[in-house]
Amino acid sequence: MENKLFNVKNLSLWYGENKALNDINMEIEANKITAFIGPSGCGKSTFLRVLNRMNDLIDGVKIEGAVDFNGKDIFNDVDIMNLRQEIGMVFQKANPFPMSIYDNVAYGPRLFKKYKKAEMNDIVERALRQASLWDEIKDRLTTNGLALSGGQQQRLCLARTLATNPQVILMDEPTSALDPISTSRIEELMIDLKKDYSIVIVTHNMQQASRISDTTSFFMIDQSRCGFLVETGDTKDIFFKPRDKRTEDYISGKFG
Amino acid sequence: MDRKRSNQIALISIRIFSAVSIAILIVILGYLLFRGLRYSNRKEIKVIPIASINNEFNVYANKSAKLDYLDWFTLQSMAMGRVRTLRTISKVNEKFHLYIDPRVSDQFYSYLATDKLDKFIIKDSTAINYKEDKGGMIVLPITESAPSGYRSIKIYDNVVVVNKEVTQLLNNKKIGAVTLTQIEELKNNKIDNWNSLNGPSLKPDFIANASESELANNPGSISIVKAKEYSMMKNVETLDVVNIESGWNISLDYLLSNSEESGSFGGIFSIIVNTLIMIFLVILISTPIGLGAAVYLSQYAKKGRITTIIRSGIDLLAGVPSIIFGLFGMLVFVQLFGWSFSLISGSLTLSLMILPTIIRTSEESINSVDKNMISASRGLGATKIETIFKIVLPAAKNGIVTGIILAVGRALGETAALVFTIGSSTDIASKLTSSSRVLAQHIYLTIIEGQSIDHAFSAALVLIILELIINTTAKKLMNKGKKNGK
Ligand SMILES: Nc1ncnc2c1ncn2[C@@H]1O[C@H](COP(=O)(O)OP(=O)(O)O)[C@@H](O)[C@H]1O
Ligand SMILES: [Mg+2]
Repeated sequence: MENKLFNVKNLSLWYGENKALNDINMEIEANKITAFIGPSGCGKSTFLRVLNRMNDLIDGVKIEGAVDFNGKDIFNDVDIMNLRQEIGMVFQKANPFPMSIYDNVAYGPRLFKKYKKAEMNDIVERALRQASLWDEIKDRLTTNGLALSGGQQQRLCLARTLATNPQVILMDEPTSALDPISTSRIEELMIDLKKDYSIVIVTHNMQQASRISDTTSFFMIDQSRCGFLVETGDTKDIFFKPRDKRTEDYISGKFG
Repeated sequence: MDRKRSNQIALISIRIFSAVSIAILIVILGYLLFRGLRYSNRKEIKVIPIASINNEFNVYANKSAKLDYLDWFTLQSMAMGRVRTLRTISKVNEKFHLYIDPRVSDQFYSYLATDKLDKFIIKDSTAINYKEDKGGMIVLPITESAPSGYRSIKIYDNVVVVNKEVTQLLNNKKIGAVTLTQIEELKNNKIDNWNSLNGPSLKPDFIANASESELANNPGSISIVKAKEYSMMKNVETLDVVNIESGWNISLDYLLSNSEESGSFGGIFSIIVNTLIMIFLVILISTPIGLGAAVYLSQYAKKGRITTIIRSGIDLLAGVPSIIFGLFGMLVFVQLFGWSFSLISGSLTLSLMILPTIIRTSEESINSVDKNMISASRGLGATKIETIFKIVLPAAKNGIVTGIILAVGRALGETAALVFTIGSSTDIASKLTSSSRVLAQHIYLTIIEGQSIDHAFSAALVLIILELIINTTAKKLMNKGKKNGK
């Protein structure tokens, strides 16, 4: 039970009539980077959204099974707004709000508490520093977040998530729209952040998964286009001596 | 070869059509601008519109009386005390006052060939505060200069007199008014026959300074005499003269003074104010309702039969002719609620009329807000309603405001929906339930009630300028929205 951040038991998910996830069992550990890999459409994003209940926003989603977060059932025992504050999310496409950089970062904290100006300044600065954006933009905190470059926007989104002081950061292909330099900055950041946060990342990029993650989960899709988990293990094991033949095929296919 | 030919033809036709439509637009706008700014009326008057020189006295009128000239006959009626207000002779609805300097009273009344009226003759010219008297007119010796606030007015006193046969009705034809050019031609015997002016078949014979008997005995004779002389002739007829009066239609004064007598007199200020109050009310009523409905439909309503029916109902309402909203407003607000013809009845009717447009445009811009932004907000722990107020509505703001502005622009130009609902009082509305007139309505009413085409045109110009302001604001916001919206 120690160190188990998430405990997923027999989780299945349907979009209306279509089953998208089948009977997933998985444990996710704290202060590690966990990578989800697998062919597209196999339900990685869907599963990621289960973890902070973002699927609730989608009409017609039905979920069976249980997810415990720090030992608590996220579907029954926690307040959904607090859950999302504890489990932040960074999306595939950078999505800053059309407001100033400062307000973008302050958005999350302001939802939960009224802060004094100085306190808020500290929170914003800390978050921007953690996202290694502070030095670039400290003189223009009032400019619109949309005015930043793509890579900066994504780091702003990360800062925005960090500002609510979450335990977990979920990232859905956060670098897929970025150039290699911006990508490597974000990868460095993730390794830095691992000390204080647990990170779950969906990625298409095999090298990225092997470079940064500690644990890798490989998902696949069956004949009825329903996603399932093939195996979870140490990243080194998954990439260099996978237990399952399907994992080996997928990884070698990607490398080859 | 053929292809080249047909391309050429297509290009030429496109050019021609665009040139034609641009030309039409320029003509329409130019005409509206011209008619709105200047008036130019053709009037038929009894005297020749050329000022005559008087070397005994000058007549001055208060500048606000808006008088440029007077004909001898009107001046005579004034001096005889028959004219009490300026309304028939100028566009001003003022009580008329005449002050005659005692030094020229004899000359003045003799010029007008009438008996002196003592009540107009002042004892001491300095004792009267002319400035205050908007309807004031002063007769002073030629040696005196114009009092401040007054201007000299021209007196027309030459009359075209003709032998009675010239003005006879023959075969349903009768000579009409003559122009100054025609008078010149008649003077120089350049017109051979009266029938070229719709008169009888007689040769015109111009006699300078003719006496009554000369004119009476000579068929076809014509002369120009002083009005005073004419007033003593019996057996002659006069010819009316065409006078083109022109001037500024819109002035600051016109914009800033209140309308009087259903818009026949005075300015347009009260009507502009009413229009602005009405627009304010319409925005106040329709925005929260429309926005609320749009938020509900786009964010909360379950996709299903009922929502579809509501949506098509809204689309249907958006296409309903405004007169039908007018009828509805009359039955419900005017009669059922008993608010009579009033500002509130009219504003509510217009609000209902533009509501479908506001709902649809707002819903569209709400739907076009980046879904990723909404997810981000929810992902940070914001509730749905927090997200709507903090993210969705601010992001959709420009689109929503643009929609509202365009809808309000439509309300601004609306008459049909107001005919049965808002009333027609030209006073500034003091209560929600006061009858009040707005610009578009004013144009309609001044024409329908036959008051003044000039006033209709100047109101039209003001309305167009208001619409222009509204449209440019909307366009600016739209461009801004495009920049922010990506
Ligand atoms: N909002 C949704 N509504 C309905 N079906 C969805 C939705 N999102 C994803 N799906 C379906 O669920 C399956 C898994 O999608 P997704 O989780 O996005 O896969 P991945 O991220 O691994 O590419 C796909 O078949 C996709 O079509
Ligand atoms: Mg995905």
